[in-house]
Amino acid sequence: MKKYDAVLVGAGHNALAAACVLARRGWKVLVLERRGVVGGVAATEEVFPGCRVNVAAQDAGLFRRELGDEFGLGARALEWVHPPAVATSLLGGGDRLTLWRDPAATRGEIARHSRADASGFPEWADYLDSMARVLRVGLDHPAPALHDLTRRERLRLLRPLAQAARLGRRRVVELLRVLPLPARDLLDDRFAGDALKGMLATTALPGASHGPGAMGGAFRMLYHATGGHAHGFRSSAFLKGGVGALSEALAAAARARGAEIRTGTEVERIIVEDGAATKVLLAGGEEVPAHCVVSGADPRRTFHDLVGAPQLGPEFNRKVANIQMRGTTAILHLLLDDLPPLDDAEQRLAGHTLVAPTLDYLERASDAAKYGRCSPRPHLDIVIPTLHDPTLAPPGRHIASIQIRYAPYHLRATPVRGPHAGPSPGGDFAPGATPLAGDIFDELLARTCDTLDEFLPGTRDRILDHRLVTPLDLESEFGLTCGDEYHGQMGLDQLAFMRPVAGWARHRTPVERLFLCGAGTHPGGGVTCMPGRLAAREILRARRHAARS
Amino acid sequence: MLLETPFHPRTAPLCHSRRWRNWSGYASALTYEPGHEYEYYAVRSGAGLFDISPLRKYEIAGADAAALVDRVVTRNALECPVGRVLYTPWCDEAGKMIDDGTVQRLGEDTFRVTSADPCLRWFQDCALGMDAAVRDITRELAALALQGPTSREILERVVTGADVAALPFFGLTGGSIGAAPVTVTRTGYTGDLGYEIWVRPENAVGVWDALAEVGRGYGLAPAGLDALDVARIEAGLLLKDVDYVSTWTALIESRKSSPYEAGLGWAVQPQPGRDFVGSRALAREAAAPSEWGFAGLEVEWPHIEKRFAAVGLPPLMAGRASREAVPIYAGGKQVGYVTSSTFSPILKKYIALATVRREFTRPGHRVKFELTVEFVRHTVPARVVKTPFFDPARKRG
Amino acid sequence: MTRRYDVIVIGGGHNGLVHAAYLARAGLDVCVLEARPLVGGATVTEEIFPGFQYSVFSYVVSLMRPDIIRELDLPRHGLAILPLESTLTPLPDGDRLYRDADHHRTWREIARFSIRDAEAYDDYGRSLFYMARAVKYLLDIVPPDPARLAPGDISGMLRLGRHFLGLEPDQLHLLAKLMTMSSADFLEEWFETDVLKATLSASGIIGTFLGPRSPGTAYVLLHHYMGEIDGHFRAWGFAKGGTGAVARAIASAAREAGAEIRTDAPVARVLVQNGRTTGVALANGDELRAKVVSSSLDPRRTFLDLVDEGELPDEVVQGVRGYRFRGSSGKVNLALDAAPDFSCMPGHGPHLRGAVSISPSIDYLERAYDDARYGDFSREPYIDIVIPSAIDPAMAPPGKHVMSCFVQYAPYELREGTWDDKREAFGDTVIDTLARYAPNLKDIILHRQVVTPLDIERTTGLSQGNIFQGELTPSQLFFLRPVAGYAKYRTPVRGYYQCGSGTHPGGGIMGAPGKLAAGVVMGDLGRGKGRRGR
Repeated sequence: MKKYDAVLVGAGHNALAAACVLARRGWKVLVLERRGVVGGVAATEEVFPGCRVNVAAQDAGLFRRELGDEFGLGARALEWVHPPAVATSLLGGGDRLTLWRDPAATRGEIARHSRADASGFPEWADYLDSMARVLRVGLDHPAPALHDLTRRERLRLLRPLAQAARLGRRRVVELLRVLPLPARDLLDDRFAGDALKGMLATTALPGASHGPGAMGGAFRMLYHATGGHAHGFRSSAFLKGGVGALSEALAAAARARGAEIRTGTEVERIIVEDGAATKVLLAGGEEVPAHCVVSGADPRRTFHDLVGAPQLGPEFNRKVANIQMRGTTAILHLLLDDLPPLDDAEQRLAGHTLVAPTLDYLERASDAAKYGRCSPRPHLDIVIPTLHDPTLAPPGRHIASIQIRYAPYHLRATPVRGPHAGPSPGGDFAPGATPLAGDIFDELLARTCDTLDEFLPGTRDRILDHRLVTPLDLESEFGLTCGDEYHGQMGLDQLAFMRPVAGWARHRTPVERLFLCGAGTHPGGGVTCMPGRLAAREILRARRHAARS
Repeated sequence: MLLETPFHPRTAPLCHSRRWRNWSGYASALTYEPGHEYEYYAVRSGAGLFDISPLRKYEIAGADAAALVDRVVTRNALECPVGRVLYTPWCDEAGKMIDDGTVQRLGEDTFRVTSADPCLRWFQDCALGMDAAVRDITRELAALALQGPTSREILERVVTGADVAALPFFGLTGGSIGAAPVTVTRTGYTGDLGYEIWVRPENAVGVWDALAEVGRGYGLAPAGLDALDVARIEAGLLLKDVDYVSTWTALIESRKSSPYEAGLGWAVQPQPGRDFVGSRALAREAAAPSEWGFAGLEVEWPHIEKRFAAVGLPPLMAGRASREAVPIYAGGKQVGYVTSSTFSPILKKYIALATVRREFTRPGHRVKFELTVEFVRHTVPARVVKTPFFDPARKRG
Repeated sequence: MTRRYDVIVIGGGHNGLVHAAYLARAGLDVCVLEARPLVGGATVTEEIFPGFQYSVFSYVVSLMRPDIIRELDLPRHGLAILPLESTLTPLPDGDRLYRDADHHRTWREIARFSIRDAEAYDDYGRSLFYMARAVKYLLDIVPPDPARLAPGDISGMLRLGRHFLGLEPDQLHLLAKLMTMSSADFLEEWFETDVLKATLSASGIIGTFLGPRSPGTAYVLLHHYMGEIDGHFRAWGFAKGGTGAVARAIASAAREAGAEIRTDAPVARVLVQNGRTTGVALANGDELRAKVVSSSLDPRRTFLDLVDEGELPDEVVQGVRGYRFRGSSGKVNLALDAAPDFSCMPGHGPHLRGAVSISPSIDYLERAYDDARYGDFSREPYIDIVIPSAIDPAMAPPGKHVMSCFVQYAPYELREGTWDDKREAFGDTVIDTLARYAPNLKDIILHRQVVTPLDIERTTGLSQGNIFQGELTPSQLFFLRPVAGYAKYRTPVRGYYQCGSGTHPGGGIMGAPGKLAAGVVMGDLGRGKGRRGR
């Protein structure tokens, strides 16, 4: 049996990116994917007959096109779509606020609500871009292993430090000040209009279970702007063929360089011998030996399910168990026989369409998640990909994919754990958590439709079919622990050298020759392909070192 | 407020000295009589009866119980047959000692582990992903240690349903005392022939009474912690947080000890393919030994006498064991420190357990022991010797 | 006629007094100007009701730097700190969690809820010890400015880097978590028992407009843990005579060193000529001249009220405007005819000598926060109670008691109405909440004083009633406190300094800002040591 240089577990966009980088270096690479298609959550599949739907991720705006060369994507591999509207916020009563790609149009739109906000908006857009540029320096480079700053590591720090310094020391200090701020504070300092603030704050929500008043929101706002051209909102771009086109292009590029990609092949275990990963065991019983194993699965799944906790130290296991994994987003796919009724619908609904009328609305929606309930009035983020590529659905039909917040994976069955409930059973790290199920499912659907009725009335009459994907489905279908599509919350405590767990940044693990390349590693989630890219580089480094010594 | 052990109704009236100490939150007699000498000699010539109920006790059960115990402790638990007991330390991932205690294998898939301090969370966390349940049974199990040359004869007369005479060193058997089911292990903390009896709290007093009744003819005496301390030093047995500091409470790296440093290197049993917590760190240490090690010391008693005599005093060091750290010198430099020391009534020597630089761990090395006489510090010669200091044939025989 | 001082210190709170004492000891001619008739600021004890001594605002002592106590010889000036060593957390079902200095009893008490947690509690205590040890270093240094990078800043940053990178890896990582996590999540890494997590997380919300599940509160938790008394971290104490006795002792030390302290002397503005201060103008029109003026008031007052905005760069004005106060707490002080009787621990036990914390669950605290977030005071607030008279009998007539209740959340900005309208309703809510746990309370109240955030602001001048002179969030700490570029106690106006809790290392009866600022002033005047941080 031939031995691979690297076996990658899962064919999500990050694993595919890693496979591209490794295959281009001449590595013999095998990618194993449990599902029938590549892409993981960045896949576009037939959900309704004859319709191709972005199953989870909608927006590829964080993918940095200049990396195409490194992955071996041809110049015309991807067709990007930049709709005129970046986002439209539905304010109820037929009112709406749209941010356009054209700054003048945006200013005019905001001015209808507040003149001061309108004149301040261009400065905000610049500020967001400039702060995101500084942050990007940190995301482009491996996280420093602060606990082990050898000479060599120190030298590696020089380049990002110099790059950051070139952007201005004051800016770096400002970034340090701003990162921990709540979205609310950041926006309160600049804007008066509640509609605008609510809308902008939505970019702080993905990746966390907190509302706009929670610290660290500003970081997530900047993070979602690191793809460039945020237009004061977030880096947003769509693809002909859906988000899955990116994953398929990556897969094609990897194959072109000799990588093998086997779909419908589930990895059951990563086999560890003498402290090193030596092969993977497939569900059918087949064993695939490899020089190294690279897991695109999230860290908890990788360590506790694929490797197995008993193979790892208890202190490390505690850290893994303590990774905050909190899926709070459900997705509702709708098949529509026409666009929702709204003036200029084709223009206005072509970006992100939001139900986030005020900061307090978002705050109240997130309150429910704190107590383990679904929001009675959820925040919705609607994308209609058929406006970017009509061929995704039969003529005249539209698909709307709605991210619903908050629908927490961790539901509270009983209000509070009683004081005399007795000790929890051995090894159970998360007592009291019940995944979303049953009548809560119906209620979530009803609440979402009610919210649509309120903010985008008439939509309900155009629904031909629907599919609700809960965090529990994300877990069972895509292997996302607790339905967390970021492979771990994007809070300041789970970033850089703290991601996935403190002491094990840089994609390495306590198991020799086992690496992580998923969103659970630095720099984090979203369709960036950065974790995969950095992981591949780290793996190449490790091989060089091994060869040298 | 200190708790009472299940034997308290018996031990309290016997404790004429009224000297109690806090052992894990329980009132535990230091001595029953005003001094501990009689209790000590009972252990060495008759039998001493110790209430050791405050020990922490855990039950580990399940299909992976053996694998779990083997993962936690440094000794090879898979090779421990049913009906046997292991003494072993256990370590954190850095190979530093957390605690030490005994592992009793009650069945293929059932173990009982004792420890000095609480370890439930650790054991449970080590069990993640394994089919093994860990339960704290500290309050469900009372325990007595019956230690001394006559302990076997006493037990033979008291225990039914078990062949106590045939019980080997570190063996375990079930049986009954009166109507009460008990577990008997041939273990102890005195280095003498001895047994430990594990019983449910509601039967505790009955077991005590049965032993006391029969023991009367065999020189049995209730014995307290002071006597135990002298006996365990003679036996060369370590006391947690005296002779070594648990990695959890050490606060600084330099206070932590590996089993090698604590003289328990024999209890580290690596094997190809055996991956216990700390095994990698301990393998590294085995390859590149630490600069610290463990030594038993015999301090030259005539020199001690001479130093005291010089100021007109008898040697004021006879009596209770000392847990005070005392510096050890060689060539004018400090090379270690004594952690426990005592005058051994049976050996008539002053003996000590010490942590010393590795080059001084070999028996025969000569070092200096710091001695303070009338507020003036001196040094007296001492010799590194093998432990146990006292090792009677009856212990294993 | 005007008199010329070396230094005028605006505000006679504990930081202003510490500042003045150090400068006076260096031989400078110092004058402290206090608006109120008594010194102390928020560190005062007053006989509001005859015979009963209320520590009106701050009520316990822990953070006071031991070096200040030693160097100013405060015990000789009357400072005595009595131990406060237990915490009782009553539960609605009549149960409770009681933790005190008896390690084994506390262990068993927690083990009633979870043995794992009882074990984790020791581990947690050690972890916070490590953290307090690591952060202690920061309490004694002037923050370097990473944006300026003068030689002193570079060496300061390098020393800082060496200090933190020299920590054990686990400790460094824990510190990173502590700076960024919510106290609930942080505690979740150790504990499963709700009441234990809740009552521990309460330290993370004090003085902060955040809930226990809000990221950033874990640091506040540490801030309350790094106090030292007699070499022990986390020891909380009660000043004999109330917290006012602390201020009186410092004032006495300052006077002995030659400082002049004027009460009833509110300052209207700081006089500035050509970008340099020349003194202050009092509210009564008098002008006092000085080479140096140090303000111990909060950043908003220091920069925006006392100085003309024109004297300051725009970015500083913007920065101070964006600086968050958000007062979130109030006080209810009670004079009682007898001791309160808690149904979960009846009688006159030692628990009355400790703290009683109404924090039965994380959700309880979070709901309390929710109310405040939408502009109401908490319908069921978090309350931290001490009964000073149970520790120091001089605080009340024999057999009678004073009870100090720190209450959160009481947002400065109400959605409807004003605090003047709602003061008594707020007081009633607190009493009703307490009476659920201590049923005899309503019958034994002789007098009550309700202190709202508005009252704190009016009486002490603390903007929005924030007890820390600004929230202790990562964006407002260290070289960012109060604003980037001016964290070294200087201001854009030459000769004008800051020395209050709004500067590093922040609030609490700590005294460190006053002392560190004094070092900078002395350095700038070429006096004594204290050239650090130039």
